[in-house]
Amino acid sequence: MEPLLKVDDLRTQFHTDAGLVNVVDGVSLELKKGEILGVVGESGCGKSVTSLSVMQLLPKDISKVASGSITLEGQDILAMSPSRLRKMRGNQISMIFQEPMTSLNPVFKIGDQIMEAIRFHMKISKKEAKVYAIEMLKKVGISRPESVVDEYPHQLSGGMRQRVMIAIAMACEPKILIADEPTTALDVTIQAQILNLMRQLQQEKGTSIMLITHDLGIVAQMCDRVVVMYAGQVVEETDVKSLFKNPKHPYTKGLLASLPQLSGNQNKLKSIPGQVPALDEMPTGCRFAPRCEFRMDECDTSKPNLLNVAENHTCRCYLYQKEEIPS
Amino acid sequence: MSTLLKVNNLIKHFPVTKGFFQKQVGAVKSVDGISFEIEEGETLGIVGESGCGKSTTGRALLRILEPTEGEVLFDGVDIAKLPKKELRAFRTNMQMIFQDPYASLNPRWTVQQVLEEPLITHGNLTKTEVKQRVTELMELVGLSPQQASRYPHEFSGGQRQRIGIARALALNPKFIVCDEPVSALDVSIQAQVLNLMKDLQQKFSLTYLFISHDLSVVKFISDRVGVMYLGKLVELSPTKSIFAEPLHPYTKALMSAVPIPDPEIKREQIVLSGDVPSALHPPAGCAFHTRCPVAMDICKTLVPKWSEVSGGRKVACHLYEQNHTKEEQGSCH
Ligand SMILES: Nc1ncnc2c1ncn2[C@@H]1O[C@H](COP(=O)(O)OP(=O)(O)OP(=O)(O)O)[C@@H](O)[C@H]1O
Ligand SMILES: Nc1ncnc2c1ncn2[C@@H]1O[C@H](COP(=O)(O)OP(=O)(O)OP(=O)(O)O)[C@@H](O)[C@H]1O
Ligand SMILES: [Mg+2]
Ligand SMILES: [Mg+2]
Repeated sequence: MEPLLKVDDLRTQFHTDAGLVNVVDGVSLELKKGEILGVVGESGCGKSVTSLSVMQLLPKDISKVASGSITLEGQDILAMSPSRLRKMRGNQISMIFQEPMTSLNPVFKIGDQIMEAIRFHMKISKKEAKVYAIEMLKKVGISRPESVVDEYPHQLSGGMRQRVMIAIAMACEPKILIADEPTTALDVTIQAQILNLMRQLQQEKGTSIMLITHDLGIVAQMCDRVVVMYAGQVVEETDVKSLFKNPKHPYTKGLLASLPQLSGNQNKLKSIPGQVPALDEMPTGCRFAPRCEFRMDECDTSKPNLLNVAENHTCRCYLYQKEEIPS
Repeated sequence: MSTLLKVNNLIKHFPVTKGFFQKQVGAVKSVDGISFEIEEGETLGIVGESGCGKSTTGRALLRILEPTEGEVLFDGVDIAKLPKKELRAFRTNMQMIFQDPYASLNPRWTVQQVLEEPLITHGNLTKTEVKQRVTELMELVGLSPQQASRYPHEFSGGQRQRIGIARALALNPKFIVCDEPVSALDVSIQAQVLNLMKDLQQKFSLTYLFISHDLSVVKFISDRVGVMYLGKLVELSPTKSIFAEPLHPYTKALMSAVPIPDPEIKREQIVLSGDVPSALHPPAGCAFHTRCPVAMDICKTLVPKWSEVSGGRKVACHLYEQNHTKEEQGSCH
């Protein structure tokens, strides 16, 4: 089946203190209809920049997509006009941003902000939009929606603001929802409400969701497939069960082993030594090599490609060169 | 084991004032009467949702915030009533590690200066001894002493947290309040820091109050766990028993809401409705009754007692008070 969204060999550059760097360096991924795709990886590995590239919301002047392609239902997003992009955002793809505080406008009432989003994409009257806005707030678990529509962002808690953002993102029933750490700032009990809501959206409306998170618990409970990123690249991709049962990349293995468990007893956690390389100090070979317990000579000198290591399972690591299966 | 810290009915209210004359119109009941003990060498974990009073508790214990009421007995001395001058000397016993290692380090100081500062202010060491101690501290937390002349921004998040830990250890404290020390770190780095904290605890028989909203982290590091809701402790139990069989309905909900990193495990979740009420107007009776799936009439009016249920397990919930009285009655006959 043709994927809804296809990112192919994406390179996104930023002007930084260290000069022009590829913060996303050859990322490819696909989002199929109705699936929840998880994107995980260490802070700074390029998850948000990948999604901002898709939305064409990269900070101008300091960043750009340097090469690669992004297609939405076969249409080239990189070639879309500004007005076509505005239509796309909200109607076809909605995004929930990592920082809810900065993405609501402080001077407008909550209700007006939801209604604006609704009326931009749907042909309904102001009155109908308000009723719909209240209904959306109720859906995201806000307890007194009739009064919240007339309040300003600063009057709401962080959790409520994030739910308002989700209400706005879901209002127009987009085909794709990109959720960038949608619950990181929230408490677990509120997080559970939001995740249920997203799952409901996927099940009832067939929405495809790209869920960016660093929480492997959320990945396990929510996602169908997972992309693991490290230092601007995809290092592993597979279905969620295989990832947790049979992780291939040493980084994925290390990550899973570092998790404190809720069941059983652990005296010591396994950890990955060292830290993520700085953008301007990327190793010439495999980017994970300096921290890798399985490092071989070739890992330091040449760059590994993404290999097919099993059916629907890819991994960027020399360990699997011999086992590669033809795709 | 002996008790290092005994907290009796600790209260911290923040007054809310209005108008030109700053008339007090109310109070944020951030910490509203909590009591617990910490044994020497143990880690007491504190969990609970944002705003429930975890940080305020930690700060009031160290008197970074002045408690409104209550006793904090440290080795038998009531810190809450200690005169300022004596408190200063006493403080070397108690330190704090913060969530955001970046914000808690002076950006214009080198690591050397950061670590020297407490040694110079509180100790009476010679210059060479200070230098030696800084080297020792850096090695202790796994940093290279060659990096002592660098500034905080030249370090990664995990390394900065190590600097924060080294600073807390400088004066050989007995007790450290750790306020979300690994929350800002990536999982792979978080594991490094947690292991380090556990090692150091054993090496120096440290006692920790470990604040976190991450239950699996708390489970890993703690001997006992206290659960807070709206300024009150609702449950406090040994780690093993609280995770095996949570008692308070809030603890149950909290635990069931944690996503398990295993796609094969699908758990029944207790999804709580609504938000945490404001600490300015906490509900009457049991503060949790507005969200409690098993609330009874009595919960709306009567504050449940903080009492021991069984083997070192304390809980504040009417469900258990009833059982308790029934049992007591039973044993009378
Ligand atoms: N506005 C910016 N200016 C300069 N560099 C940036 C900017 N935004 C992102 N970067 C750099 O791009 C890289 C990727 O950042 P990105 O925000 O995509 O990371 P992330 O994977 O989303 O991390 P996190 O988990 O912390 O959100 C980082 O090294 C970051 O420093
Ligand atoms: N200086 C202050 N003045 C007024 N209210 C305060 C002050 N400090 C904290 N509070 C309030 O006290 C309550 C408890 O805050 P506290 O920071 O202890 O919560 P917490 O459990 O540490 O939350 P988090 O998990 O978000 O860190 C909150 O309602 C907070 O708004
Ligand atoms: Mg991000
Ligand atoms: Mg806090």
